[in-house]
Parts: sequence; structure tokens; C-alpha cells
Amino acid sequence: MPMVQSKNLKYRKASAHLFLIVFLAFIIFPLLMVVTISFRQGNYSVGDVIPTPETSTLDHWKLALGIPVHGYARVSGADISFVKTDEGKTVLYAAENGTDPFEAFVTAPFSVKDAEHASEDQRFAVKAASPDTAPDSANLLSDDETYALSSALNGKLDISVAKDDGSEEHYSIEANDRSGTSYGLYREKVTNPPFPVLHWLWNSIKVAFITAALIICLSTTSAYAFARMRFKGRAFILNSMLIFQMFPAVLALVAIYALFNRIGSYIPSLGLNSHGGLILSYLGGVALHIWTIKGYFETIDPSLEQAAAIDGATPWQAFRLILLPLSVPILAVVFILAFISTITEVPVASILLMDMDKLTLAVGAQQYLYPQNYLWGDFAAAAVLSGLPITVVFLLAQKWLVGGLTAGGVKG
Amino acid sequence: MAITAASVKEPPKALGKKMLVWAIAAVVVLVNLYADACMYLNGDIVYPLLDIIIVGIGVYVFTSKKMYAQRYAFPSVATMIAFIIFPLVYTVYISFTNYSGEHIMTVDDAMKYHLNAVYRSEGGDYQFKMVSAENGRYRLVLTQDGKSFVTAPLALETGAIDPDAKPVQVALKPAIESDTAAQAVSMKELVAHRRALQKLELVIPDSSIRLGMSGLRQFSAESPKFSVIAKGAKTPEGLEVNVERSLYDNEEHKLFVPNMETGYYQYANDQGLPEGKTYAPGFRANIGFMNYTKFFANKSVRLPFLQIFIWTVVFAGFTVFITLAIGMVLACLVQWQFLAGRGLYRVLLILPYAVPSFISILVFKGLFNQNFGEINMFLEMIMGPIYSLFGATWTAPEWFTNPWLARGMILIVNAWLGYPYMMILCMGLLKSIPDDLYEATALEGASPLQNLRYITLPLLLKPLAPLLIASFAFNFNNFVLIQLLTKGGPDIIESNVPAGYTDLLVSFTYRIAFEGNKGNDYGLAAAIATLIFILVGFLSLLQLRLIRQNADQRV
Repeated sequence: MPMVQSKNLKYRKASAHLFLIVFLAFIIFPLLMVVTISFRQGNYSVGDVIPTPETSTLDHWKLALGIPVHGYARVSGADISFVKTDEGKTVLYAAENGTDPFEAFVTAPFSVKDAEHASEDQRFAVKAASPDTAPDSANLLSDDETYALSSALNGKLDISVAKDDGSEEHYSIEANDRSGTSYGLYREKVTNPPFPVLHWLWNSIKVAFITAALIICLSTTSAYAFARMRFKGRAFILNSMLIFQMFPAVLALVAIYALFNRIGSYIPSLGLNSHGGLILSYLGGVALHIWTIKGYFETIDPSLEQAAAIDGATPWQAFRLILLPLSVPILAVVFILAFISTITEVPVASILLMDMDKLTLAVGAQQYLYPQNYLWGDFAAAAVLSGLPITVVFLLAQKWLVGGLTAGGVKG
Repeated sequence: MAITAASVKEPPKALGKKMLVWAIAAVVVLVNLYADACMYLNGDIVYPLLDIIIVGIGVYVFTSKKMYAQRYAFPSVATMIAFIIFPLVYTVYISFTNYSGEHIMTVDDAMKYHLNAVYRSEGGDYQFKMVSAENGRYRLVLTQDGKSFVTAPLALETGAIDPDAKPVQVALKPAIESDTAAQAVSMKELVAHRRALQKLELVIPDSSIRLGMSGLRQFSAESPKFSVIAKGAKTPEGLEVNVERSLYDNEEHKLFVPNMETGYYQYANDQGLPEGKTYAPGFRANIGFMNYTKFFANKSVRLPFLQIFIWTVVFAGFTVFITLAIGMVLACLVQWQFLAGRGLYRVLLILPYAVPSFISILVFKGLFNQNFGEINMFLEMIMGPIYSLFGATWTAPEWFTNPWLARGMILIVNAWLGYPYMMILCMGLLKSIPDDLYEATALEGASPLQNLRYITLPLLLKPLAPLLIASFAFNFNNFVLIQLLTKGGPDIIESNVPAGYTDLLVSFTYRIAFEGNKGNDYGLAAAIATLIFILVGFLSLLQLRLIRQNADQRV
């Protein structure tokens, strides 16, 4: 074709690039959004759509990785005031201002200079207790001085108040907004990870790995029989396999539930709410893989096996020692396809599994976006964390997978 | 050339090995027969039958010489029978029953339930009080018209008691004065033990009167309300019993028979046939085509069903069309030899296919959120100023409450999810179109559009046809998309079964089975599932035929 190049090729190339780039911008947009959302503060998109380095946070990532997050929540019912002592130290009073119940406290005298050297990680520790008397109003710092001092102490203090029951509460002075127009008293709050994401990911990988391995075992032997041997009912079984695997399992959920309920009453480890039962139910989906492997086997010249048979090899030996080593590429493709289709399976897993710590990722991930408990930021981090490895595996194996998809499909 | 049946024979085996095979087979058969016998005694018929069939075929295949080839295929065929075909057949069976939240037990269990009922018979009521005895035990003191009885000290449990536990018989003896004068325990303590008290059956000495707890302050004489009456026997009133599992009401002296059409127990009329009011609990019964005729008879089922069916077909058809169109254009573009950076484009374009679908669907659910979603924020940012320019105000689209917007959202999301698959298929097929065809048209001065219309499309569509049918069937049953994105909502208000504007038939079936507001109607769900099975079976037969046609033409 190079011999006939049309004159407007340049414009055509440019418009093709333009079209592809605009199209890709729309396609990649949701994926990029999720990544940015996972670094955004809070679970609701207030403020920035795209977070800047100053406003971004790793809190969602910590929660996704199962690490509790220490944060500070504003105590709206408290007013702070400072008193200078004679030794040049400062005492902080926190008192109830009437909007919210709050137990007043007063700190031990501390040096502002020392506190200013503290850092975000290594805060300046100050002990505090319930006040015996109200602060002497004569020694109170003025509003301007209070503001200056608050701004100096912003995020530097770790005030520990001993409670009657022996526990401790931690307070700090923090800015109410980013530009620091006002400061307030903040109480330390520990947020625990809402869901065991890593545990779910592990469950998913475990189930998918075992399922894929068993499917390989089942489908290679069957594919061998269908590709190399002629027996009665061969065509019938092959065709009915292809037809039956098109019926969606979601329509037979009641029956599947009843079946595993019954199996479980005799063998609990293969029944409801068990990974064994889930794996067992996935093994039914071997048909498509048998077709794919059979198609590959048929492209391998059988003369090698025939030669081996003449030398006295049994069919099993010919299969295991000659055919299998030759078909490692297609086995890898089938393994990855089975792995991915198991990991993304929702309906059967959502019916068979019940306990929170037994769920697979595909079932558990839905719980982030219930209207009553909408954890959009936390979900974004969990989604990137768990989706990334699967995506990378797929992209790495893409070249072979694409071949396998078209081979199994088109050849029939 | 493939190995023919004649060449695939079982290799001869040593006698020892043969014995071993037979020994293993014998053990497998014995273990399974034992398990089947246990299951059968538990009242199961279907499961032991399934087991016997699979194990029987398995043993035959692995021991018979003729079945050597089938041995390789047997394990996967057996798992398919157990976990795909059996659930299918069972679902079809359920569609002919009234199995649902209200009809969940078997008729035998329903009979047992009724046999537990009691009525207050002669012997009257006894006031009782509970008094503390040693070691945290209690005595019960009962009084009626000056007569008093007392029990031995009883250890009463608190909290939940197995409701199926048998009543505990406790003998009473005449009380002495210290018993009747004793201080009763507080009502709170009594209430804490009430479940254990309800399980007591107190026996009045020298009589057949049994007392059961009938209130927080009294025990009353009671007898079983029903007793079993065999088929063919006659009631004391002379009515012949012609139904199995009939019961006789000892209190009202009437015949109480199971109605195998309604799935409830009812009282019998003069002919001994069930009539009138139904009594819970319902039991499973075969009701023939009732679930299927519901579609025609019941308008509030038929209308949502038709609406959902049309939407399902439109959704699947439109999805196939749009993904194919996008995928084909992109495939042509990234295969175009003059385009630089084709490899990078290809990887980026496949990205939506590489991300696990359950994650990307949930991501879209969040992005489309009406109040906090980023899509509405961007739309507001872009459309707000444009609208205010013309003096109008932009209102955020309600993606999840407006039926048409919700459907539009679903189509957009599914196009995003589905086009890479079509692109991959088209890329593979484009490679097989010989280049000289395009060279020939280039000489004639054909435009790219003409190339697409007269060369690419006809040569692609033929081999694609079976795959397009598979894609149609897949999207027809695309449960995960609906379940994760909208759960079928917004709901169709006029419907009295759970149904939504974005529900596909599969998610509709799922909701009838598992989310019904009037209890889960498994029977109706199975009937819809059976209809879908027929349709899917038809589609896959069509697919098979097209594959075969393509294969024939290629040879």
C-alpha cells in the first residue's frame, strides 16, 4: 500500500491522534478520579475536586491497609484561654461555652518556647486536670495575644487529661481552617479501618488461585479426551457443555443455596459460608476452558504422541510427558482467565458467604457505598489498592490473553 | 489425525493393580451408599439420587475397559452435572411449586407444627407463684379453689431454649402451709425464666390432667389440639378421611386437612375436602403452572414484567451495537500502519477491560452520585455558567431517581466496560483481512469510509456473528452491572413485586427471590428463570449453528 499515499494523509493522522486522545481522556477520567479521590480528605467531595499536595492525606490509604488513623476532631463546646504565670510559663484553660457539654480542664504551666520546637510527629506533651478555680480574669491574655499564641501552638501540643475511670483523653490546638483565621480545641479521635480489605483481598486471591488450579486439572484431562479420542457421545457432550455454560448462575441461586446448605449439613467445610463450598461451586464453570484448551491441543501435531505410542507409551504418558509440556502457554492463559473470572464473580459468592471475615473482595467492596454509610474516600483507596494488582497482571498477560480469547472464541 | 477409539484401549494391567482398582471402587461405593442411606433416612430423596447417579457413572467409567476415553472427561462432566445442570433442573422444578417465604417447610414439618398446638381442656386454671429454693433452684406453687400443689425444686434455665425441645414432665404433690406462705420471686425474675417454664408439663397426682403455662400467673389444663388420623379411617362424626396427613381437631371436633393446592392446612367441609380459611404455616406444594399463569392473570406482575423484558432486550441490543461500533472504529484506528504510538494507545484503550469490573462499576456508582458525585460537580462547573448566560439555572441530573437518566447512565457505563472486548476481537479479525484488498481500492481512489463499508464490515461481521450473540446473551443476563450500580432502582411504584426501571430480567428474578416485601417468592422467581433459560438455550443453539456455518465455509 505505501505506493499509493493520499495527499491528505497528514491531516488524517492528526485527526486520528486527536480523536484517540479526546476519547482516551473520557475513558481514563474515572480511573484518574479514583486515584485522586483516594488522597482527598474526608469521604465527601467538599472543597477541592483535585487535591493539591497540601490538602491531600494518606488517611484513606492507611485505613485500606488496616492501620487505624489518629485524627483530631473539633470540640465545638469548648473555649480556650491562656494565663501567664510568674515564672514566664503559660497555663491553658479550656472551659465549657454552653453549646455542648464539655468537661473543663486546666494544664500544668508549660513553656511556649519549648512547645514551639515540637513537630507534628513529636508533639509537646502537657498534663492537664480538672480546674480547682476559675482563671484569674486579671491575668488572662487579650484576644489578640490568645490568637498569636494559638497560632504559635497550632498542632504542637499533646494535652493529656486523666479521666476518673483511668483513661486518658488527648487534646490539641488546631486551626479551624486552612488559612488559620481562627483556632479551636481539638480532641484526638482514632478511626479504625471500616472493613478488613486486605483480608478480603487475601480471601479472593486464595479462592481464585485454588479454583484456577483445579479448573486447569479438570479441563486439561477433559480437553485431551475431546481433542484426541473419539468416543460415543463426544460431540453431544461438547455441544451441551457450550450451551449449559451460557446459563447464568444467578438464575439458579435458590437451587445452589439449597444444594450447598445440604452439602454443609453433612460436610460443613464444603457447605454454606465456607470457601470450600464456593470453590466447589465455581468448578462447574469448566466448559469454556475445555473448549479453549481443546482448540489448542488440536493445533499440536499428534504424530509425536503416535510415535510415543508405538514405543509403548500409554495414552496417559503421552498426555503427561508430551502434550502437557507443549501446551504450557495455553495453560497459563486459561489459569489467568479462570483466576480473573473467579475474582470478579459476585452473585454466587454473595449468596454462599455470610461472615464479614469470609467475604471476597467483590462482595465486600459493595459495603463501602451504602447510602447509610457512604465511605467514598475510603472506597477509592481500597479500590486502587485491590484493583491495581489484578489490572497489572491482566496488562502484563494481555498479549497472550488476547490471543487466547480470540482463539477459543473464533475457532469454536 | 486423531487417535481413533480402536487405538485408545486401556493398557493391560498387572493383576495386583487391577485388584487395587476394584478395592478402591468398592470402598467408594460403600462409603457413598452409607451416606445415601443416611440422607434418605433424614428424609432426602433428591440428593442421594444425584449422588448415586454420579458415583455410579464414575465407578462404571473407571472400572470398565470400554470406557477408557471417558475417564479423562468424567471429572469435569461430573462437576458440571452437580453444579450447573442439577441447579438448573432444580430451578425448573421449583417453578412448579409455591416455594416462598410463606411456604418454606415441607408438609410433614407443617403437620408437626400443628401437632404441637394445645387447647385448654377440662381441669381449669391454676394460679401459680414461683418461690426460691436452695442452690438457685425454684419451686412452683399452684392453687385452685383452696387446693394447692407444689413441685420439687427445679433448675430453670434463662434465655433462649430450643423451641423443638420436648416438654419436661414434672410431678406435682400436695403443698403444705410453708409452701403456700412462701414469698414469690419478683415478676422480673419470673419473666427471665418464662421460656423454661413454658416447656414444663405439670402432672396433677392421681389424674391424667396435664398443666401447661397459659399466662404469667397461671397454669392451665391442656391437651393436644390435633391428633393424627389415618387416610381411610372415619372421624367420630362419620366423615371418611381421604387425604394423607389429615389431623383431627380434638377441641372443635372437625377434620383438619392439608390442601395440596393452596399449600395450607384447612378445615374440611361435609365431603371431607378442604375449604375456607387457611392456617399458617404454609407448606411447599406442587401448583402446576400457577407461577406461569400469574403473568397473564395478575396485572401488577404482568406490567412490570413486560416493561422489564422490553428494557432488557433494548439494553442488551443497544450495548452490543454501541460497543461493536466503538470497538470496530478503534480497532481500525490502532491497526492503521501510519499511526505512531499504536502500542501505547492499544494498552490504554484496553484499560477498562483490565480493571476488575466490580471495582469500576462501584467507581461509577460513586462518580454518578447525585449529591457528592464528581460527574455532577464537573457538569455544574461547565453547564452552570452556560445556563446562567441565558438566564436559566442548571439543575444537577438525578442519575439514580429519574428512570431515563438511570437507564442512560447504565448504557454509558456498560459501553465503557464493554468496548475493549469488541476492540480485541476486531483487532484479531482485522489481521486476517488481506492487505491487497485495500491496495486495490486505493488504486481506484476509495475513501476510508468506502473501505469500511465495502471491505471491512462484511468481512468482520460474518465471523463476529456468533460472538455477538454470546455478547447479547451475556448482557441480557448482566446481573453484576445492575446489582452494583442501581440495584434495579428507581422502583416501579405500581408494581406489587419488587421491580425497578433499570432492572434486567435476571436482577428482577433475584429481587423476587431474595428481596420480596411479602416474603421471598422462590417459585415465581424460578418461573421467570425458566423462561430465561429457554431464551438463552435458543440463543446458544443459534450461536452453535453460526459457528458451524463459519467453520464449514472456512474448510
